[in-house]
This record gives sequence, C-alpha cells and structure tokens, in this order.
Amino acid sequence: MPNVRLLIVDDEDINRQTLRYCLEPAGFQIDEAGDGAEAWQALCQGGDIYDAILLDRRMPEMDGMELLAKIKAESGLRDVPVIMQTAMDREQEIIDGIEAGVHYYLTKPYDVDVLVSVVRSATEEYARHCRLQTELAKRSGAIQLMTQGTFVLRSPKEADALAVLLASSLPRSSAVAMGFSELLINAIEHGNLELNYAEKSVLLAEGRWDEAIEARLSQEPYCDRRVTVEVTRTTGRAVFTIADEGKGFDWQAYMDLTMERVFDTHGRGIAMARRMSFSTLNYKGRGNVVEASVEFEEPKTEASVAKPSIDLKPNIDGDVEERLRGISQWDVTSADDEASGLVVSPVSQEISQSDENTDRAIKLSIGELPAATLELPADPDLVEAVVRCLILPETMELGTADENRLAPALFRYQSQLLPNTGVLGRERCAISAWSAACSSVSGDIWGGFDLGDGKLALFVADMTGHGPVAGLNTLRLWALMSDMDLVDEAPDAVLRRLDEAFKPALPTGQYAAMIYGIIDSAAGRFEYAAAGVPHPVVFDRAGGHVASGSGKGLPVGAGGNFPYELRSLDMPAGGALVLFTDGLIALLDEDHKKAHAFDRFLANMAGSGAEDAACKRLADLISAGPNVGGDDLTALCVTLAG
Amino acid sequence: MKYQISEKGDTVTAQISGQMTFSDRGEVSGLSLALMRVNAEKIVVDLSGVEYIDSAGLGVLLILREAAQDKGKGITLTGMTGSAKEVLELACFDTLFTFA
Repeated sequence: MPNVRLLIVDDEDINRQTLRYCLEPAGFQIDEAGDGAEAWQALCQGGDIYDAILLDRRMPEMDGMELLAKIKAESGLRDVPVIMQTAMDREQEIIDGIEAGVHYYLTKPYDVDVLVSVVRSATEEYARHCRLQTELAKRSGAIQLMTQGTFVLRSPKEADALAVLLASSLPRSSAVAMGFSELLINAIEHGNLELNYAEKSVLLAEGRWDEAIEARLSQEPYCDRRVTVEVTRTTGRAVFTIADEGKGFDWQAYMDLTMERVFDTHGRGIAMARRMSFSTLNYKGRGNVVEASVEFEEPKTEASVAKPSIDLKPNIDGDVEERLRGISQWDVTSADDEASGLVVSPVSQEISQSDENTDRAIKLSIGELPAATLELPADPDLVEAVVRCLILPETMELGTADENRLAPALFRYQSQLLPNTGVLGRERCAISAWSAACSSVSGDIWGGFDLGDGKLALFVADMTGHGPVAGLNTLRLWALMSDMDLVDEAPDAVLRRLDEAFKPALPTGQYAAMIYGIIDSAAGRFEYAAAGVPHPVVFDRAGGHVASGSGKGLPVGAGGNFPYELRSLDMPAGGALVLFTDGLIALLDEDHKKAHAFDRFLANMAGSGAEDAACKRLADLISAGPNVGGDDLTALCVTLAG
Repeated sequence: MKYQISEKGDTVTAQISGQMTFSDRGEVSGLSLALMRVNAEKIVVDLSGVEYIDSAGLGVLLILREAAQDKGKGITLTGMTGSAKEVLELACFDTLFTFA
C-alpha cells in the first residue's frame, strides 16, 4: 500500500505506539501528534498528505471533538476520513461524533484485524473520493443539457464513471458523486450480484471482496443483470431513479448510521449519501429501486434572466419619458394591450395635456394591486429611483452609484409627504414630530389626517430595512392611507385592510410595523390598533406618566389576515400622547436592552412639573442623543389643548 | 449573524447566533437552502444565541417560513431570550411560528 499516510492523534504514548505497531506492518505510513494543537499544526503544514486521521476523543488542551470541528470547517481537510477511537459503551459520544461527521469508529482495546480493516476501508473510500474528484475536474458539465434519459450499467467501474458524469452537472458535485457512487455500487453488489452484508464483512476481512465481485459478474444468472438509471431534470431539481434486478433488501436499516453498525467496516454508504449528497433519498418497494433528488438554483444565464421591461403609456411627461427610455438596464415598450409588468402612465389625460410641467404626475402600477400603484410628481430622478426600487432593487442597494445619484430625490419627496405640524390638528392639539434617517432615505414614515369633529387620525410606521427600498414602501403606505376612507373605519379595520393590501404586493420579509389611531379630543381618548411597534404612552400635563398602551400585533403585510385588536387610552386635557418607532429605543440604549431603556426614559419624564413636559423631554433627548445609529427614528408628541 | 445546521433524527436545526439585522439579509438564501435541502420532517430555528433581532431579522424568519411552507412544513422557534424574545412577542410571531 504505497503512500497511504495516517495521522495518529492521541495523548497517550502507549496508544500511539500500539497503533503504529498494528498499522505499519499493513503498509501504512504513520505520523503522530500528542494533542489536538500539535495535530492541527501537522494538518495545516502537511496540506492534503493524510489519507485518514485516527483521533482520540479525550485529550487535554484541544480535545478530539474540538479538533474535529476545525477539520470539518477547513475545505481542504473536511473530506479526509476521521476514525474516532472510543469505548464501546460511550453511546452519546458516538452519536455526537456521527453528528459532527465521523463515520468510522474504533474501540479500545484494539483488535488488530478490525483495526486494519476499518482503516483500510476508510482510506479506500477517501481514495475513491479523490479519484472521483480528479475525474470530475475533467468534465464539462454538458450533461446538464439532458432533461431526460436512461443509462444502463453492470460493473462497479462503470458505476464510478457514471457517478462522475451525473454529478458533474450539479452543484456540490464532489459530495453528489460520492452519493451516486454509493447507490450505484450498492445496486450492483448487493442488488444484482446478491452479495449480502454478512458475506461482505467476511470477504472484506479475508481480502477477497474484489475477487468475489469479479467472479459473480461473469457467472449465471448475475452476468445478465443490469442497473438502469433514469434521469429527469426540471428547473431547479434533478431526480435520479436507480433500479437493479436483485431481490431488494431491508433498506430501512441503512438509512441512518446506527449504533449497531457503527463499528462495522462497511454499511454506511447509504446513510452518508442521504445525509451529505442528496436533497431526498427514498427506497421503494422491496428496495431494488431508489429515487434520489438534488435541488439547486439554476445558474443565471442571459436567457434565464430576462431584462425587465416597462410599458410606457402615451402622453407621459417628456423628461420622464426621455429618462426612462435612456436606460439600457430595462426594455421600454409602448404596447397598448394589457401589460403584466410595470406600467407608467399619466395620472389623467387632462393633466398630461397640460402645459404646466410642475403639475404633471406619473402613475406607476403593477397589475391591479392597490399597494403596487403609486402617483408621483414628474421628476425624472424620483421616477427613475422608484422604478429601480420596483424592478431592479439591487441597483438601489446602499452605496451603489445609482443609489448615490437618485436617493436624494426619493428623500426629498418622502420629506414633502410628512404633514405640516403647524397646520395639522392645530385647533385642538399641538404636534411635535421628529424624523431622522440612518441612511439616504428613511424606512419610517408618519402621517396625520383631520377627520373633523375634533378627531385627528395619526399613523407612525417603520418599514423593514433601511434605504431606498424601505423608503419606497413608505411611499406605498402613505398612498394607501391617503386613499382610504378613514372617517368611517375603525383603526383595527384599517390595519386589516393594509395587511391585506401589502401581503401580495411586498416581497416576503418586507412589512410595516405600525400604529394607527384616532385622537378624539372631545372624549379625551386615543383609539388605536398596533402592528408590532413600541407601545404608545400618555403623559399628564406635568409630564407624569399616566398610561402605556400595547404595541403588540403582527406587522402589516406579514400575515395577510391578522385580527388586529381595537385598543384605547384615556388622554387627560393638557396631557400628551407619544408615539414612536424603535429607532428611539436604539437611541435610548445602544445595547438594545429595550425594557430598561424605556423605563428609564419614563422615570426621567415624570414630575418635571412643566406643561408640555413630554415633548420637551423628547426634544432634548433626540437633539442631545448620539447620532442615529443603526435605525431610522420617528417620534410624535401630541399635546391636547385644555 | 452566524448559523450552524445540524440534523438529528427527523429534525433539522439551524442554530443562529449574534445579531439578526438588516446587514444579514444577504445570508438568508444560503441559510434557507441549507435548511431546506435536508430531508427532515421538522425544522427548528434555535435563537438561543441571538442577542438582538430587528425588523429585517424578523423578515429573515418570514422568508424561511415561506420556504418551509413551499415544502409543506412549519418552523418551530426555540430558545428566545432577552430582547429577541420581546421583539418576537411584540410582533405576534407566535401566530406564524410554533414557539417551543
């Protein structure tokens, strides 16, 4: 056995000597390490010279499991088989080892024959792995062009060749090639040639396994039997059905590496293939048919990544049209028929024909979804920014050139949407508002609407994430809120409608944490519904904390049909209501210890004795606080007259 | 955010540690693929090592949930503590995930 080199890692000198004494005569070359650290040094320096590592589990300094974790984390080493030395009765240790990727075990004291045969089995498996790797490197991967087909084979040599060919079309091809090799060889040896597990153990121990295979391959009735492999490849998934002509076997026992077989020299291939090679692996019927599948992401090709297109309707603003037509990252069509993608149209024929460019507006829509329709002023930068956020969001990631160029227009427009606090609700209350963005565009927004009869509707929302895409979602929320009939709908119903509108329109993972409510100044009450925001707080005239509400609720757009609760808080005359996003908490405490930070804030507010104390405290806090760090911030303080 | 995938019996577990925030959004497809390629009956996301989770971190969980739903499976969240637990409870994620 030329050049098969082992690294023996054991802190006991006597154990290392015993192993050397047993293994050297069998032809193995031996290196030794007295602890995990020394072994790691040898592995790092030795590169890929080792064909197996014999590892003692218990060692001072770096123990066996710790070294194992380092080996498995290193791409050049993770495939080298590790043979763990353990006591027969240490079941948990063995289970932990299997979990960590150890497939071979040796018991102390050593039986020389078993020792040699386990080490040989592990090093042969590794040699096969390396051979498959070399073959894989030569393949072009053109087999991925095949969507359906059948292969027929009969010998282990053909099995390995086919394993490499099939795996070359798939990601993680080295692991997959090993898996195919296991399944195909299993189908030949145990299926067609009917050599069973016990016979294999004996033949392996006697060194006659290869001989037995060759004999049966030329013997009736085995010599006429074939293994067929059917391949079906669809988008993102390839299914391989491997059938042999044998009698089948009790496959259930081999799907996992179990304690009963952990010390055997063979019988772990199916469990390893299932675990490391395939997305699914299922034996069928009596066990002579196995179906293995691999799921993958299709590589992006010119054809599969279609350029997005925009349908420009007639009579949109000339500057906007020129801008949108001048960008090569999307195609512009002017089709009159119904388009399924992004449609840019004038808001109305009347406005579009006006000579006053400043009054002109653009409507962007995707299908009929209300949350996917936006009206914007005809500012080319703003329209381009929004179009990019909608159809090429990656070009508006923070720090990209397009983001740097276009985000200011988005930010300006977003700022214009915020209500004028000098006007809103001024007869009944005073509003102070603070907004700060942690990046180019805020993911927070707030709004207010006078509903008449002394009622003021308010919302504060925090869209997932930061930057332009989150900013676009704030515009969508604002548009949806502006279109609603807020006079006749209770806050819980409003959130339900927003949830329904957002769920199909926003990509999964994007949503709005928000609070919406109505201040009834005559009744001295705030009725609201919340969707996963910090709780609203009411203070009295002197700044004393009166009551806290609840911000609990599923964020809007995350569920689609969440039953939001209608809640209310009493507001004393002259008292203040404070609504805010969690950016304020980040400002209060950068360590994110939410409850503590807010409790401290409340304690500081109390008893300051001044009218309008809550707003003053908030203003002090926000202006004196550190710059907004990781989050956008919005805070509202509404003081009731009286 | 860091994660480690392990499989035991019919359960695959993703053990997540560190902070789950906006800056981790690039990790989600890798995590999702790693979790879903294992042919396990149950999917568990262990958040015991998570110190902080923000809205984008919750978004990561929603993306994993959708990938699991595509395979007809649900996700169990375990080990939440401290502010991560508060955030998950505030956002009523117990209506979307099994808390264990």
